[in-house]
This record gives sequence, structure tokens and C-alpha cells, in this order.
Amino acid sequence: MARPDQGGSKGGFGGGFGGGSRGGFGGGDRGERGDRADRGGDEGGGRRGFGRRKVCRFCADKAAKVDYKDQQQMKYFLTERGKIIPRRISGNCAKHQREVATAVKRARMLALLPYTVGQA
Amino acid sequence: MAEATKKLVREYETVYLLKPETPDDQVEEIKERLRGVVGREGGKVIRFTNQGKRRTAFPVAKDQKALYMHCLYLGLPGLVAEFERNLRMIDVVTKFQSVKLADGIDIESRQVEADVKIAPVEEEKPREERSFGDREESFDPEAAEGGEE
Repeated sequence: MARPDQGGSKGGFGGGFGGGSRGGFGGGDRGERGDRADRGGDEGGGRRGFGRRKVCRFCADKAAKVDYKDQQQMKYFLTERGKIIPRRISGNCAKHQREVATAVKRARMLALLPYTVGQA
Repeated sequence: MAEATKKLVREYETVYLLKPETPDDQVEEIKERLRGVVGREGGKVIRFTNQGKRRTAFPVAKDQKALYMHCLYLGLPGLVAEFERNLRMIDVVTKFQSVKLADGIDIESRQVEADVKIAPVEEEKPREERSFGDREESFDPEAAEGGEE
């Protein structure tokens, strides 16, 4: 997963090899994964392992729908402070993160979810 | 258009909150009133769901609890305005929100369902540790490669 960083540290050979083998698996995936690895690199500060690949839980389970009335489900996407959990943490895809954001805002209007928790 | 005989409507849902001390017969009365509104405007109520008294995330009308009601119905666009106008007139209704669920539904294709009453959800325990621990993990990328792909 961390191929871009890793390739850089190992030299030209490692980078070329990693890129080639991954290209074979499918190009669509590639940009997204590369992007994530870069972000991880900023935070990790030199560390090269980046956990397992996150998958969008709504893409993984086609039956799961974003429902603003389901309090338990919506709570999963909120921090303790009541903020919406960003996509880079929750692993949602762009489409479903948009739906989640809308649903959280709807749930807030119905007082199912807090706008803020504690002193903010 | 051969389909001209079909009456196409939209599907809407409205969640409205009542004061927690609202007696049951008044809840029923509001339900019937709203059913009348939808019927008058040429729509169709599919079902009402009583979701019970629940703790709200913040005080609503100076109350920490509210009775959640959900209504699923079919109708033309003007119906929602009339529906909400009626809700505004009822004093025990503290909040409401309408959402359009679908477009171009044949009004005959959906059947009226019985009203549902859901037991209120129990107070949940304090939240446990979140499982988004990915950033903290550290492992050998070479070893992970084989297991993942």
C-alpha cells in the first residue's frame, strides 16, 4: 500500500517494481491508494506501514443504506465532540460520505444527534 | 403518452416531534387529522410509525425527551406545504422535518399499511473505544502485501 514512499527509500528498482505489479491489479484503485499513502506518510513521520486498507462500509455491504433516522448507525460517524468523522478516518467513499454528511445534518435537526457536545 | 392514465406522485416522509406528556388519544387525533389532510390533497398515507418517547440530543421546547412520530405518504408537491402548515398549527408539535424519498411513483402501486408502534430505544451505555485505529498500527508492508491482494 505504501508503495510510493517505499519505492523512494529503496531506490529506483523498488519503485518501478512495486508500481508495475500494482498496475496489473487494476488502475482504478491506484490513485486513491497512492493518495492515502501520502497522507499517512505526513502523519507517521518516517513510518512506512499504514494499517489495513479501509473500505467504504456502504460499498462493501450493498444492503446498508444511510438512514438519518437510525440513531445508532449515525452515531458511528460522529466524534465524541459531535463532529462528523472525516472520510480519511472512516474510510467512506466520496459518494457515501456525502450521504452520511447530509444524513447527520438531518438527524441533528430532529435532535437525534447533537450539534455539539460539551463546551465547544 | 400511453401512460397518461397513471397518476404519478412523489413519496415523502415527515418526522414530527410531540411533547412527551402528550396523551395517547391526542396522538391518535393528530394522526387522523394529518390523514385527513393528505386525503384531501389527493395523496395517500402509507403508514404512521410511533417511535416512542426518546431522549433528544439537546433540549427541545425545554424538554429532554420527545415523542417521535414518522409518517410516510404519497402526494403532489403542494401537499407537503399543507401538511406542514397543519403541523405548525398543532401546539404539541415541537419539531418536524419532511424529506422527499422518491419521484414519479404510481399512486396505485403502493398499498396502505397498518400503523406501527416501535418500543422506544433503551438508553445506551457509554460509548466504547472507536475502532478507527488504523493510523496507530504499524507493520511490515511486505508481509501485508500477500495477505491483502
